[in-house]
Amino acid sequence: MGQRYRVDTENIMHETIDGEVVIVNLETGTYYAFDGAGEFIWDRISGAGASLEQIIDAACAHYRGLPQDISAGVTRFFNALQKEQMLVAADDEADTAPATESTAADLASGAAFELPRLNIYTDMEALLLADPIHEVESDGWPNLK
Amino acid sequence: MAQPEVGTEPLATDQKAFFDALSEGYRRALDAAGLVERHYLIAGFRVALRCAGPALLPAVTPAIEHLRTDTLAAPDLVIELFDAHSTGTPLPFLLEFFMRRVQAKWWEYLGSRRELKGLDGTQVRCAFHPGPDILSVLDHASDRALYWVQDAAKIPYYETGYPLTVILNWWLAKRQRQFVHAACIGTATGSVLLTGKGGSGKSTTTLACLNSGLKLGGDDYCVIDTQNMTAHSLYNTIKLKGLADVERFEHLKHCVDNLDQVEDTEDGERALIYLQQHFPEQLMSRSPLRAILVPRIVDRVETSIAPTSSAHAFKALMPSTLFQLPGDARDAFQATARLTRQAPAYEIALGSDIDAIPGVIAAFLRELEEKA
Repeated sequence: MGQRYRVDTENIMHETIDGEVVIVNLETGTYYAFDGAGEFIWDRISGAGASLEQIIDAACAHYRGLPQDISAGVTRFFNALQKEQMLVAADDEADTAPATESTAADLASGAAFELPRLNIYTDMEALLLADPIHEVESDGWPNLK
Repeated sequence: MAQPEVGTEPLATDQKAFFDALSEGYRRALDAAGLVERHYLIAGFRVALRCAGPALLPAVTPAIEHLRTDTLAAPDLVIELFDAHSTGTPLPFLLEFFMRRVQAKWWEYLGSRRELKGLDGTQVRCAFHPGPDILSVLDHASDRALYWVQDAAKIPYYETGYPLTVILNWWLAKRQRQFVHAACIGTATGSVLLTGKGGSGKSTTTLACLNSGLKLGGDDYCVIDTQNMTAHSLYNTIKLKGLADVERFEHLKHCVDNLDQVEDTEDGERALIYLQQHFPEQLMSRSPLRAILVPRIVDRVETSIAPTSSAHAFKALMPSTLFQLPGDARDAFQATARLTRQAPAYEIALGSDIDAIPGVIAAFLRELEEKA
C-alpha cells in the first residue's frame, strides 16, 4: 500500500455546502472548488486519509469508464492537490490503520467518470502576501501599490 | 532574536504586562487631555468609547453616529482610545521602545492578519496596523479594549469610514455576531445581503436604493446575529470608487466628506458619504435577514432574481469576509458557512435600467415575507 495522505488541517479548511466542497487556504488566501469527480476524491482524503492507489481503486469501482482513464484523471487531480500544499502524509499510526471502509459512495454508481478538476481562486492572495517593502503604500497594509 | 510563531499561545503574564503598560499609557493621556465619552448600541450591545481628548472623535465616530445612544447603563464593552500626538503623551518607556521596533520592522513582528506575534492569543487579542500605526488590543476577560494611534490626524480614510473593525470583530465574534463583507438592503421587516466581488454591481445597486423606499443597513460591512438571523447595521458609510464614480452619481457629490482627497486611481482614496449626515431616514439599525443575493451584471434592460446554490453564495461571501477583515479566519469560515446554509441564496441579474432595481428587490422581499 502506498503512502496515505490526509488534509493539511493546519492551514486548510473545507466545508460542503449543497453538496459542493469549498476549500480555503488560510495562510495564502487561495480558495478552491471542484468539478467532475473531484468531490469523490476529496471525500476519500478528508476522512482518515487515503493513498493514491486506494482512491484509484475506489474510483474504478464507483464510476463507469476505462480504468486507465480513471487512473490518469485521479492521479492528475491528486498531484494538483499536492502541488497546492493541501495534503500532508498521514502519520505512522494512520498509515498502519486499516484502509478506509467502503461506503455507499464507493459502490458502483453507474455514473460515467468525469475528469476531476481543481478550480483555483487567487483574488484574495494579494491582501495576505503583500511584501511590506515593495508592495505597500506609505499608508500601510492593506493598501497595495 | 527569533520571533514567536503565529498560533503559539503566548504567556498570560506577557499579555498582562503588555496590556497593563498600554493601560498606563492611556491613563497618562487621559490625565493630559481629559475624558471624552460616547455611547453606542452596536449589534444589540452597549459599547462605550472613552477617548483621551477630542482628537480621535472626527476619525472614529462619524461612521457609527447613527448607532449613538444617550444611555448611561453599564456598557458591555469599553474601548479606551488615545493618540500620542494630540495628547503630547508618549507611551510608557519600554512600550514606546517596543512599538518603535515594531513600526520599523513590522514584517518581523506581525502575522499575515496583522496579529502581534508572541502577544496575540485567545484571551487577549493584539494587532498592529502599520502605516497609520494603529494598535488594537482586546482583553476578552474584562471586555475592555485599547486603541492607540501615533497621530489621530493621520488616520486614513478607510479607517475613518469603517472604524474599529479589528476590536469590534474580535469581540462580536464571541457573541454569535458575524461581520460580513456585504451590503444590507431592505426594510425593518426584512432585508437581503448583497455580496460579490468588485465590479459585480453591488455598489451601484446599493446607491440605486437610496431614496427608493428601501433602507440601508450598510454598504460594505454589516453584522449578522447568526442565532436569530438578524442583520445589524454597523457603519453608515457609503463609498464611491473615485472621481469617475462621483461624477456618475453627481446628485451625491455635495455629500462627499473627503472630496478634496479623492483620487481617480485603482487604489486611490475613495469618496466617503456618511448617510447619517445626509440621509438619516434611509438607515435601518437592524432587520430580519431573508436572503443572500449574489449580483451579476447582464446584457439586458430588466433586472430579475432567481434561486442559486448556497455554495454560490458562500463563494461570494466567504473570501472577502475572511481576508478583508481581521479576526479569527477559522471561526469566520465556519460562521459564514452556517450563515449561507441558513439564508436562502439567490442571484440578482442586474439589468441596465438601474432605477428599476430597487423595485425588483422590494417586490422580492415582499414575496419572501409573505412566505415567511
